[in-house]
Amino acid sequence: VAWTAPITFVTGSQLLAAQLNTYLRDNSNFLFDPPMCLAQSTANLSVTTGGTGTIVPFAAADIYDTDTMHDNAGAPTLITPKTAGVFFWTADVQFAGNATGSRWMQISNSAVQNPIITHQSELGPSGNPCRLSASGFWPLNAAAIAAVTSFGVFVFQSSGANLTLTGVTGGAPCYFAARWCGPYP
Amino acid sequence: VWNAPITFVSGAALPAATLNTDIRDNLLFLYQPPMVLARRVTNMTIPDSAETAIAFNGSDFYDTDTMHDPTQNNTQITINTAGVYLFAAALQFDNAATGQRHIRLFQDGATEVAGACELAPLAGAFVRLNCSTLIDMLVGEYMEVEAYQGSGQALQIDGTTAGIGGGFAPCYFGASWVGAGV
Repeated sequence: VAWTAPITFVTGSQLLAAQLNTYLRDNSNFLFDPPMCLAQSTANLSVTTGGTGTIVPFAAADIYDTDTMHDNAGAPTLITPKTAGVFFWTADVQFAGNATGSRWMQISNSAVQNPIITHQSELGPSGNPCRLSASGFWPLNAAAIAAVTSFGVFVFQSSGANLTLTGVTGGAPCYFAARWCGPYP
Repeated sequence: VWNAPITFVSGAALPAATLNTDIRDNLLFLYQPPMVLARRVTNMTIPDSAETAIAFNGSDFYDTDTMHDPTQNNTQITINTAGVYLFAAALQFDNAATGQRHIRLFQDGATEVAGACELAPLAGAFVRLNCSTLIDMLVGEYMEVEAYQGSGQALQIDGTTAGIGGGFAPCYFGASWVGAGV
């Protein structure tokens, strides 16, 4: 259900059922359940060492997706907002324990890794699992929606060998979420 | 602003003013609540071993409730509508191998409400940090992002425009009203 700017009521005008349905029922439903999705990866992912970042596929069934923003089968690495506005983005991942090199993650434009909405690094990992989490806001206007702008979670590690990013069935969080917070100002 | 809606009763008239105040205006408030996203586009030098408030002096992406001024008190997001806010910030330190790095959300110049740290930075690797929290705020209260580094020398954080590494690091500070919290 899309948002429709409510009318200004005037004295003496008739209050139509269609107006109540559009401006009250539909708008209330939009605010009650705005565009948002939560994607997850249940499977482990082998991340190669070095490079410029590996985009993480979230291929398991979405926990929720109210605006067809994530396709876990066709484009599991991407969240693609369909409604213009300000979105809150968040992601959590965990690398297997390894004491060598560094780790980082970021949420960024999936095509060019710019802009980077948010990020987190761990430059001195121990042999314990390395947990990374990042959150931030980012606005998308109508042109960005029309251009099919997608965002992804990129991870990096420099342990010197492949390193596992643990899926949720391995007991770690591996989630990527977005939630509409308001219209594009 | 939000107006506490009336309780409707049978037989009462439904004036246009009531529909506008209690339905139209309240829907619009919930549709576009107070929110702001500030940024810093240029690098900023952080002195050694001193909590330093970040000046977000780039033009705001948006600010629906006059919460941030890029030119005056630009370290602060100041609340004009009470409620529970979601705050989030991210920045990147230049590389250096010594000391720790951290950022924190610092309320009213007195209280740390969220933070993140990097205890073992490396030469040649940027320190990427973010933090977020949900917190109840009153009108006039403010939040800042403070950065700390103990490298033994001044160290820069990246602005968003082709920063230290030639890339585009985040240097953002945002807030969004999420509920009244009453």
